[in-house]
Amino acid sequence: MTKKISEKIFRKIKEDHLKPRPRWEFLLKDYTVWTLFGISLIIGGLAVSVIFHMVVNNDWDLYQYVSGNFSGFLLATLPYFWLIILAFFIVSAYYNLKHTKKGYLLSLGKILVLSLLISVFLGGGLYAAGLSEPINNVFSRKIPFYKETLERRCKMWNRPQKGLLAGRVLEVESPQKFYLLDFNNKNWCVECPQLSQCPHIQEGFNNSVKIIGKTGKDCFQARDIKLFKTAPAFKSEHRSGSFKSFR
Amino acid sequence: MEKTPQKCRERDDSSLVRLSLKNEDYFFYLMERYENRLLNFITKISHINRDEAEDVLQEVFIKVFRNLASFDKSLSFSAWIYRITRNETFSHFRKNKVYYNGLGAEENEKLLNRLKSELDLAGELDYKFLKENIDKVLKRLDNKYREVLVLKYLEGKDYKEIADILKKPLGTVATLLKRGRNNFWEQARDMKMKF
Repeated sequence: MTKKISEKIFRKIKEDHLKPRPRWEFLLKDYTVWTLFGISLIIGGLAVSVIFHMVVNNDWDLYQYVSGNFSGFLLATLPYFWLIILAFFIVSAYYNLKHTKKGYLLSLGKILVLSLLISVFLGGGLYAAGLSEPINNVFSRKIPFYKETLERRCKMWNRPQKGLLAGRVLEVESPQKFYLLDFNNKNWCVECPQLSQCPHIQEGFNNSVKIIGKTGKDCFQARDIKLFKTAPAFKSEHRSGSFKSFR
Repeated sequence: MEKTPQKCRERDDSSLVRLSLKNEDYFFYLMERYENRLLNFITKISHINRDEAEDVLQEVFIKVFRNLASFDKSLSFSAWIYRITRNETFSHFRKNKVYYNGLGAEENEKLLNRLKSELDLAGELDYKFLKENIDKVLKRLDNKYREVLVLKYLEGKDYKEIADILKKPLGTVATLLKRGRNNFWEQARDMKMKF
């Protein structure tokens, strides 16, 4: 029996002119796996940066106005879309790292923690560089589903009877009066009796704002106005409307 | 090939791999070196008959030759070729629905003695009983436990090599070995009670 198989295979190699597969094929596979691992971490980082943006700009101090209790508010405002994206790409990073040459030596927990840490680090960098808001805006313009998700979140502010109103500032008539299109496409006149409470009117022109106040006879009476940084971005064609800012 | 067969046989695995990539004649010496070891390994983890084991080994050698350029020098060639052999054997298992039948008598005793020295639990069990029934005990074990016990106690591989062969983290290998040993003794005790 000894050497029988070796001799047989040796003959087969010679007769069939078998050759080892070229090294570049294996290198290509290795580089592809590493590249996909890197891409997964970068996308995970983008997701983390937008999660930071959403969390930081959430209405933590106003939750009692928006939702009855804190846990309900938290569940309603968690950035699920980005959390799912992050989870998906962390799993993708795990899968790709596992398929590198030495990936099997790392345990599931180690890879997940490592991938998450790198994503958080990258995401923190992107957030600090001010890129999270543009990323959020690009997604809200390009992906209708994502825009709807953001709008659902914004509609929590469309309760004028409860003193909440949000939408895009279309025209600023005076430092104390402006017109707004809410997320249900309804036009509103908003007045701000005390100027000091409404510092964002000019900044808010053509942007989204959220307002706390009460409905008045002709106009909504604003008590506090804030920029709505997590609202979906408006398409550029809306920017060149017939309304003007008061200067 | 400028070297004599004797010189070629004295070369280490890595150097034969490097030379085989340039001239396939050197690959013969690698096959020759591993043929018996791998044939025994296949039968130990699967106990398919000798003819079938030879078929599996032929597939292994062809696969190793075709993938020779992917051999990672940071790994031992032995671990790499055992890994391919193990995967081919289990793939053969799945394709042909072959089940584990047992070890040879000599291997039974070897495994038993090594397990006994590792874990002092055999005292409760009759050595003669175990020797006669070790195949049945092993048959009751999961593949994952059986293969790790074979690699450790029959092939004499260390943890790092087992990790490279099974493509699992070192911690997982340690856990599998511990559970494999415990499972072995639990199954043996359980069988003893049924007699």
